[in-house]
Amino acid sequence: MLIVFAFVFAAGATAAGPDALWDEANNAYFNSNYTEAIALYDSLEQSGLASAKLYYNMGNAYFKAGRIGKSILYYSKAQRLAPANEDIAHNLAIANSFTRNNIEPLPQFFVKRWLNGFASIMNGGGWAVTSVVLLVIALGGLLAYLLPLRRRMRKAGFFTALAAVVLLGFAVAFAALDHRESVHPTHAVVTSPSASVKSSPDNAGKDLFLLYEGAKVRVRDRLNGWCEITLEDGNRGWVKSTAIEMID
Amino acid sequence: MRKLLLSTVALLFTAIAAFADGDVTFEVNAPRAVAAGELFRVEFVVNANPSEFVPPAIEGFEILAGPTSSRSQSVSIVNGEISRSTNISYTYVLQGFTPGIFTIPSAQVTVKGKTYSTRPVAIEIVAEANGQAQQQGAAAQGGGSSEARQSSGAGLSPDDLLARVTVSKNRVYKGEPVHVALKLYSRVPFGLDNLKSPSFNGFWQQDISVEPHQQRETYNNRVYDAWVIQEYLLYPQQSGTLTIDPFELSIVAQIQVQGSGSRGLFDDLFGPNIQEIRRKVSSSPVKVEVSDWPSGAPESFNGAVGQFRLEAAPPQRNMIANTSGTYTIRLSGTGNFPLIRAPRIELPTSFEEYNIKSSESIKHSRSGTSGYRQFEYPFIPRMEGSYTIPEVQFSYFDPQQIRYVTLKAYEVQIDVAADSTAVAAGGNMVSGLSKEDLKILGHDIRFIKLGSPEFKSGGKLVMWSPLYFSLAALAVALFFAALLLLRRHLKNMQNDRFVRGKRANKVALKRFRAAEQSMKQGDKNGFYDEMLKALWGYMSDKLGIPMAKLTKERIREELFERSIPEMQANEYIRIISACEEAQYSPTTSTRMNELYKEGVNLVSDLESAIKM
Repeated sequence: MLIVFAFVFAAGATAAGPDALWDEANNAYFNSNYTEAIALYDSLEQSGLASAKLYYNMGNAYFKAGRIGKSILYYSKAQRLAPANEDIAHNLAIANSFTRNNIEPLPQFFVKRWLNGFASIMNGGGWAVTSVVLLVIALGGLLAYLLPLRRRMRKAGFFTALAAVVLLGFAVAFAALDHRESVHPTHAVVTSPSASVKSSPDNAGKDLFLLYEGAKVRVRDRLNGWCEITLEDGNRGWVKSTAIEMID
Repeated sequence: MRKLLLSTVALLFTAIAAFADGDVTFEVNAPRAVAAGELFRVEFVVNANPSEFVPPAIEGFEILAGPTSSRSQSVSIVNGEISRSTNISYTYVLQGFTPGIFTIPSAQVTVKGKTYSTRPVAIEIVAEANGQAQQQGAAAQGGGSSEARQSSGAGLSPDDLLARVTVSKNRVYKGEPVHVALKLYSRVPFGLDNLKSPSFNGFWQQDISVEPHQQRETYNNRVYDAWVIQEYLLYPQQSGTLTIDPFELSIVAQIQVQGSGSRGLFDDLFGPNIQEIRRKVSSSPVKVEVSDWPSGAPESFNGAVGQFRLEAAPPQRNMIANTSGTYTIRLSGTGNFPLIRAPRIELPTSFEEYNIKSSESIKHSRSGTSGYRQFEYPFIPRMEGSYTIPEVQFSYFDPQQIRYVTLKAYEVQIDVAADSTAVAAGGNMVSGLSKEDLKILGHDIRFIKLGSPEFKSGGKLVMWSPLYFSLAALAVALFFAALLLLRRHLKNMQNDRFVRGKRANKVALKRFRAAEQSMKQGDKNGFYDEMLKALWGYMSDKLGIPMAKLTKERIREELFERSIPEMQANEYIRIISACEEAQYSPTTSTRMNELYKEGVNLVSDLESAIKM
């Protein structure tokens, strides 16, 4: 009844524009009507709109409705758009603490850890803009170096160009990785309450382990409605693709 | 006979209350085997007051007495309820001489208009080898051991006490029950002293609790009182020829002996002399052939032998997460119940399983073990969802039909609904959570973001998009354009400077010459003017800095940058300062020549030192 009402309401509000719909959804959340809030946010997402705030609020609504898997999915989506946002990281950490699987991530090489930290300063779009800016700076430096200016100017130009090129490399790499992730997503979250991971992509396969909702996986391969996944602790297996949802 | 009479007389004085209970039974008691010439008793007992008794037509036996009827009555009061029972028996005393099997046909009674009849009984008359049967008298009467055998000698013949093990079958399949009875055959009264039970190696042994009872049996053409001492059901556990080891009995046989002299007074008063003889008897070993199960056993077979039925009580279709459910399987029938194991049920992995509860109600009888065994599989579904419990299989081997039978319980669908109490708003999760997240339970997620939703606009720069490439291309194009333009401009400028730099020395020398001229003419002002022009102009041309921007400090810096020794730079500036001072001072005319030489030398030094 409530859901029907919510849908009717949502349909009515769509005409009123996304901002009005957004306010309605926030109100529903505020009044603890989480299923209604989810329906409203969902209609916003269905209409093709996306923002870190929307995903964050969706994550909150799903969390309050007790659907940890979905909430982790949306927090992760929000984090892709706003990697440096501290609120998202906080709520994601809390949602993760409610998952049933205790997956110990493999220790990462410290350089990789630093790079990940560096990359999460801004989102992919930010890195794309930065890369253009750095390109301009590098070219300016190169210009100063190449022109028959005074020695000091040329020296400064050379080092500026060098630093800018190094940073440009990182910026382009980060932006490119983010872009690839959005075109071919590899990260996913288990959203069905539980999913058994098999040794082969069919129902007769041997059960390797059991994943509960909220577990983060990386999709390596796909075959006939099955996905080969890797866990953060290095375990691998096949799971039905209906059990997981991609963080795109 | 005396006893019989007495009891009959006693009964006559008893108040008779005829009544019939609900169930009327009419039975016959007769020995199965008698020796030829032996006196024995056949009794028809009815537990009601009959209106009519139709005696059987007894043939093949001589009726020595009967039918004599006797009545017994009992009254019992239990919790104030009075129940009575009446037994009326009709007794014949018979004797048979011709060996063979004779049948006593059925007798009939009529109780309250209904007719009841006994089953016919077959009695075997055995012609015994020695003629002692006659002396046995009515030993069979009233339990067989009441009267002693008249024996002329004090001896006890080895045939008088025999131990035997009887088995129901000699060829069985593994797991098929064998009924084993330990029996003592005796022709004399005895007392049991000690029993050593046989060991049943290779069998699973199940005692059958039976009252020790006695029956008449013939063995080796002799009539014995057969005492069943123990009965077992044995389930063979291995194939091959298994041997049931002999069992041993210590027996005290009681034999009546004649006194050495004539029958005295004491004999009459105190009964006959009884001699006790200790005897150890043991049975002979019995072999049982056990064959293994045939090949082709189904996968779910794990040793059940017999005839079974399977009833399954699956849990209800709709469940709620975190509530318990039970899958019950009941196996009933006949077979080796104590040895069957619980069939496997493959519950979904997210179901928490608990220990299987097994209950049974089984009865061991001579034909085998029958009853049922029930297995309860308790579980708790932890996660919502739709699950399937696959079909449950149980296989057994039927030794009668010599084939395997597989019983199945069909697969069950279970829909588990979410537990509404477990995941309250942002609150307590499943109680089975094992991770240490209690600390974080004090926190909550942060509140939603309000204000503008900041939806991603289409204008955002996307990696590898045409916009991105065109921006990069634009930057590169601008770079090359600027490089070309600036380069040309600077080249022109540089050419200009270069020319000036090259000519700097010449210009300076020209000015120095003019200064020299003025010095010779004594034109002090003219000299200093030309000197300053030469010094400033030389630096301006050489360093490529316009005259207006040139200061002493600038000269010092530029020279330092071109790695001219600081001393020379200071010297240069000192000469300029000296010229400037002297230009308007009236006294220092004497130093003109000195300054001139210093200036010319320094410029020629610098000319080689300053690189363009």
